[in-house]
Amino acid sequence: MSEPPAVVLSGVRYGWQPALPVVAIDELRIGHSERVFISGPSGTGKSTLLGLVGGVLVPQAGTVTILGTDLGALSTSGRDAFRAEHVGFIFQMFNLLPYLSVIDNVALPCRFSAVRWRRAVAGSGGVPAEAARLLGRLGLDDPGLLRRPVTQLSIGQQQRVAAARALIGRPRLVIADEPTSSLDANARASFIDLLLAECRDAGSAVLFVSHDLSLAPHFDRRIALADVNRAQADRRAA
Amino acid sequence: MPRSPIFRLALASLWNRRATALLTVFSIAVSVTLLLGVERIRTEARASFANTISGTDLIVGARSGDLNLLLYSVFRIGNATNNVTWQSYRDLAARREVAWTIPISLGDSHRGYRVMGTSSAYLEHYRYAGDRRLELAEGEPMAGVFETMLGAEVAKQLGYRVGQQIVIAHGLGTASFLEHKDKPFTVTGILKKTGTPVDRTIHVTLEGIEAIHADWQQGAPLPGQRVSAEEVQQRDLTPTAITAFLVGLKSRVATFRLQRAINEYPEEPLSAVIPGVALQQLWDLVGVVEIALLAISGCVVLGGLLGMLAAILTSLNERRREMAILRSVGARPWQVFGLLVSEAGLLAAAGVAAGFAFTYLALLAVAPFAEDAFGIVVRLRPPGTYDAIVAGGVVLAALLMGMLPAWRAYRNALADGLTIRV
Ligand SMILES: Nc1ncnc2c1ncn2[C@@H]1O[C@H](COP(=O)(O)OP(=O)(O)OP(=O)(O)O)[C@@H](O)[C@H]1O
Ligand SMILES: [Mg+2]
Repeated sequence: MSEPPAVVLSGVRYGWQPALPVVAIDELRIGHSERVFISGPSGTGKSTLLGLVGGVLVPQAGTVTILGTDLGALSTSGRDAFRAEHVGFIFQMFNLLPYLSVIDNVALPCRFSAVRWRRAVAGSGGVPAEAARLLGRLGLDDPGLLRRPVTQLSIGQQQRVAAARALIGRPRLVIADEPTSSLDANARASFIDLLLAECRDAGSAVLFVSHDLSLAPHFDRRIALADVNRAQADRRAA
Repeated sequence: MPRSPIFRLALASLWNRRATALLTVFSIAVSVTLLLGVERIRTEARASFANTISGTDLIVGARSGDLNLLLYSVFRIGNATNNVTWQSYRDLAARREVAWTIPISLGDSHRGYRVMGTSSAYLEHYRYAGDRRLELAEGEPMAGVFETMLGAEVAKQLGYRVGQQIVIAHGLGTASFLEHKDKPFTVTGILKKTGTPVDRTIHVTLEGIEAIHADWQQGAPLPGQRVSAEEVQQRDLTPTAITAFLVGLKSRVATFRLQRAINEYPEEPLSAVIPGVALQQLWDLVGVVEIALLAISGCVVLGGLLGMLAAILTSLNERRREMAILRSVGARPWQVFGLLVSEAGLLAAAGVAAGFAFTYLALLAVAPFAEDAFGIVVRLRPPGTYDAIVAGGVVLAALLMGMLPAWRAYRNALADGLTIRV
């Protein structure tokens, strides 16, 4: 039995003001466990697209189908539940909760999704153990480091904690919005390698947004947003 | 299965902001303390006053306000304006409907404690707290002219024992210059603790009061007319006047009739009051103050809760990122809502708990003073219905108030999506 594609957009229109579409995509398909790099200049709607894929934004027209589920058919809280279960997010800002320990930050998605909790437990026997394993894979295995408040970690370390949090419980889709823009070139390459290796093992699809084209070779496919998003062209034509 | 994460997160988040959180908890605690404390003092004062006298049908004294008569005769608060002549007392005490009387003669003191002249009827007929009678902890009842029986508090505070001699001062107040030095009294007995003004009273016989004033006139010793303690006992020590007397009737039915008769007594202007009625007057009088105090306390609680609301609302903006992070890892908007409501609830619950602790500590601290100064015995009772209502009410109000920031955070969470604008 073949797995459904990770993402299918068809006829999607979205504008923060409905009269001004930011995203207009007739067809976009990302295969099961495919790793895709999306590039485009600033302000062209990359983050908006990720919001649509994550079910945070609802398109004014068209359908967003994630892992075979039409998000439009779900209620708001249904979409929230779906996202909690199947989608891991990494942001440009590291976005860790300052009042939780490193391990608790990583374990957070498992507190909101029973499925991810079970997968984490199945992986390492327990959620904290799975969190520690992921952190180890990302090069954070110093026990002294893990005990420190997250606010005392370096930027690269925080970014890896955020990645481990997106990966825990093996979500089927990992969405990363410019997660490397605050890292230097070396750290950037090794971070991407680790992230992608872990996603390969978990069989997760990856949607990775950046305007740093040097990262593109790490991925299965590169999409220039301008090629699929007709919004800008439409606007110019109008 | 994941356990409910919201409560734990609320706790951790509050702990992260513990300085402000602590201030909020403290302000709620203080307001709750006030609300609980005022009510405690109120009920304790009422119970204490109501328990001071029972079984007495009428209190009789020189014509004055009912309340004043009750206060000076039973509570040793304030002073009599006038006396009752011995003839009138004997006359009224001899009436058919009267079962017993307790004469009371006030006006002297010993180191701040009031001295009361009375008769053996006092031990026999005085009742308090329902049907409890006065009992001796040690020694014997006073009998002789220069014998005295101390209240429990007097003996304890001044460290007096049976057999000791004490000197009575003329007039009231701690620093009385005129003392009846030549006529010391011997302590024959010490009463058991009653939790009433009796504990703070020094009892002597009416003859004793008469004896120490034998060579006095109009509040000063008569010059050159010293009468020694031995000589005075040879005299007729029947008093000429007393301050007031308590009356027990054979049948309560006669109360109002006798009261009217006394109020219209032709020989001298007298007042007779029913203790319960006079107490009720007292409650009516202080009721307004009580309500005002409770209203003020209520406002203070409201202020505390509004402070909490303000603190949470101001924190919302800087916590937009926190909310968005929570949503990105799968928290539903209602969970973000729940986070803030439970935060308000936690703050209030902690405030209430601290408020209860403060209240009991304050009562412990205030109890000796309240008993000393007002004769109000403050007992440390476990929390009752009122306390439960206050606790529940404050937490409930906090939860309701918490819905305002929660609703705003919920709206923010939906509008912000996953992109965080700070
Ligand atoms: N919350 C919002 N409300 C209104 N307009 C928005 C909002 N978020 C984005 N926009 C607008 O939508 C357009 C696309 O924004 P988006 O954030 O998707 O761009 P982006 O490609 O991610 O840019 P960058 O590379 O700078 O992150 C921009 O014109 C932006 O002004
Ligand atoms: Mg962006």
